[in-house]
Amino acid sequence: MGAVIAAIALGLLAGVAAGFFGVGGGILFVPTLVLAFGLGQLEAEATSLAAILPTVAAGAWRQHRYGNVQWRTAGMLGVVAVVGVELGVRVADSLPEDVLQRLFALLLFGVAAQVALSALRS
Amino acid sequence: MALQTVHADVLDAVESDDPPCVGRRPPADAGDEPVAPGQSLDLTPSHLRDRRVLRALDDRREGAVDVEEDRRSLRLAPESHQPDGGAHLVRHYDTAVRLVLIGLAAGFFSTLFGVGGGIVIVPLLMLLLGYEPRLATGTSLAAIGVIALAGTIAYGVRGEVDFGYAALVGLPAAAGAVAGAALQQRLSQRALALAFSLLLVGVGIALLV
Repeated sequence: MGAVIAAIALGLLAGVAAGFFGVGGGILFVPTLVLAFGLGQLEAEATSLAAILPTVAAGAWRQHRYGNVQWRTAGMLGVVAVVGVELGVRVADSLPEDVLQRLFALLLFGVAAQVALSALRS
Repeated sequence: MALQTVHADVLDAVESDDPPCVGRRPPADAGDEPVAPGQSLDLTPSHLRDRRVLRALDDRREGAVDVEEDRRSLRLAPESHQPDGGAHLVRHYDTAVRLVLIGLAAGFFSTLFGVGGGIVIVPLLMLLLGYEPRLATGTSLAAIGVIALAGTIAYGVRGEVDFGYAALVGLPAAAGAVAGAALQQRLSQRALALAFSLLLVGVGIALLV
């Protein structure tokens, strides 16, 4: 029960932060699942992709109402991306989990730099 | 009959009632001064100073604008029938190639790291296809929806997805994201963004050790 409440609370927090800072939810879901709930890196990434879906659907719907979505481009990107998705899954599957985790940490540093830079520039 | 000789006793070949000064002006180049080779260009500073007058003012929005593409994005023009000799086909081909590259990179990145891929898609849409930021963000969100769905299926068939946690974390996050985007309009971002980037660095270090 405690884990359920913690998951809900952290999910809510991650969502607020993602919406506020304009980063995707996944960048926060993955470390949350790994550090707080002890999932393996691969399992956390897979679960994070599923957890992104409601947030992205809500966000895309809102942006659609603002007229900011080019559906044809988005559709083409999505269809083409399926090939990249399969490649990504295979590479992630074949890498040792600690390597994957270190790569993800590097990604976090990159996003941190991006957030800091855009804050300083504004 | 003997021909008479003609004396050119008229100064100018003009009507005789024109004022007599016509034709007596100095030649047009009389005021020019010869310039010695190697003479210093002492006019240069003033040219430099005035150059601003001669060219367009600095326009920060200058840059290539594809009018046809823009019109289509605004839905002002149907599919083009312009007689441009197939140039638009070349450009569409070019755009398609770039879209394929972006899509491949986004799909790979997204599933390798379990993130949406907006980090990749938004800058690439802006760089390669000239999207403006809001359109790039909105379009990337829609694309991420498809990519995340494909990734979920690809991982799901391998049995890697914990759907319980996905729902527990994902559904509150959707509500939270709406709240976060609304807060963004009301709160000053700068200090918070710096704090957030520090938090990300901390989380990254926690993952490294």
